[in-house]
Amino acid sequence: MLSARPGRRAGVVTMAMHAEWTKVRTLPGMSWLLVAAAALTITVGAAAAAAFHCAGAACSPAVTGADPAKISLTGIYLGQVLVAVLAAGVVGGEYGTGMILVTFTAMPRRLAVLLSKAAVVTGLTLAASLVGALGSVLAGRLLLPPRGMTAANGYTVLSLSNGTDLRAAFGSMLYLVLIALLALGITTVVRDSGVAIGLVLGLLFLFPIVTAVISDHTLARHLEQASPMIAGQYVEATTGVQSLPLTPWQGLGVTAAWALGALLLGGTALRLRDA
Amino acid sequence: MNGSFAHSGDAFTVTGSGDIAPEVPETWNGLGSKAEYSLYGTVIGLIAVIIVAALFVTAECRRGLIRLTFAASPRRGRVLAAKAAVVGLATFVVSLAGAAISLYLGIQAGRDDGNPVLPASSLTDIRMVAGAAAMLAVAAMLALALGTLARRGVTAVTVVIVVIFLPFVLATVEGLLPIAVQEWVMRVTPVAAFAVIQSVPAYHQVAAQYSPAFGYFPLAWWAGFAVLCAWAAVALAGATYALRRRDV
Repeated sequence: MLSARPGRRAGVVTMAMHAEWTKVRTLPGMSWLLVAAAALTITVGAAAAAAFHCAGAACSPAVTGADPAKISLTGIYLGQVLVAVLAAGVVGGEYGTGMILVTFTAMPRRLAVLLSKAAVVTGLTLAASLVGALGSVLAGRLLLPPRGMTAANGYTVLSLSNGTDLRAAFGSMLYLVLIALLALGITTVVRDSGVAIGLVLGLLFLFPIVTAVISDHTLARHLEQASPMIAGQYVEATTGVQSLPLTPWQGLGVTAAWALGALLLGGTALRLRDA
Repeated sequence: MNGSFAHSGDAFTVTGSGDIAPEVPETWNGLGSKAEYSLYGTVIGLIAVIIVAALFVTAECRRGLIRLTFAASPRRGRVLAAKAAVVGLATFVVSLAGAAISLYLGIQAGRDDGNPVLPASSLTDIRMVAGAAAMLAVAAMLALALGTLARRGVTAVTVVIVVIFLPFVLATVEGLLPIAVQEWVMRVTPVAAFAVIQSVPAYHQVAAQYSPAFGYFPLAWWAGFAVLCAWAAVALAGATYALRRRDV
């Protein structure tokens, strides 16, 4: 098939992608992880929507401060854990078994390997988060109005034809992809999925815990702006957007910067070290 | 508070205006900061402890050393108990020192900056420091037990972080969930143990925001700690059972 190789560069990347896809497809538990990521995201979102309740004057948005999109997408908190595990497993699993030596022997261009892994992880996470985010929005649309979050009370009923709701749903999908890439980069640096997942989840969950107890409001606000989880989830906000420390897309940009930084670190580590 | 009191016969007459009540930082004009803020670093320590404790057993499983361990000491329940004792004791000693130093430095730094840190009795200080260390030690045993059950570091670390950190964030971020729900999260999940570092009780005669988001836990410190112990005990029992039943 020599005629089917127009450029060597393209050939290497295609081959690397194909190899990564085969490996990830045949990993035990991978499909379950994807199903669980989508299902748990929807379940937690639906539970949070079902827990909401208000009646009469206490229902006005000024009193509840409730954001229909954010409540429905509460499950992203759990969904991000599962996509991070998925991404950590794609690299960490190979280091755990020694398979990585075979991979680098067969494919000496390590950055191509990392990029292919990133592409495969992006595709899988997008698929799971598409189902998870759309399911969550649907659950919120069905569950919230009967509990008092109606147009008559001054809320917008969740709908993807609404620009801000669409941004919240689409943005949270991108958020999950970025968290997966962050986990991929960190796992490449530390070479152990257990350690990596501890670091990633620590990085995500520490900021909200630390900012909650800091009494210096300026510092707390800066920490929120720097946090991959808090800033990234600004993209889910549909009410009170003006009072956020960053705009929704800038917030997602913070998460993107963390993910890019982790991938660059991972890529540098791969080039410099033995395996 | 401005005022005076007069003593006549066996009666005191108090005159003046203001609150006759303890100072609570979470009232609308509350002042002061709380000593436990300097112990919130426990949360950061917790991540390191969880990783180390889980890998303490999963690394042996991955490299096959666990076969050798069980060949040398066939009574597996005892191996697990010994591992739990080692990881628990080591965590307790290290975090006892860490907690004592950070409580001391935290209160000093707060007062040096002119922030009134609400005083607590020495017994409360001791309970906070020993409690924080004990909480980390029991969390380490929980991570060890889940590591034994899962035999994979990534699964064990993920599960422990999900049962500790996710409830912590869900229960303490203000306005994320209704307060009643947040209090239930603080009663049934392992984060209930964070009640051991609460230094100021909820005074029911003072109207303030007593919710987990402001560091007021629904359970007493010993009850909250017991919840974490129950989680660890169930996980360790499950791990012992699994170790006896399975091949390696």
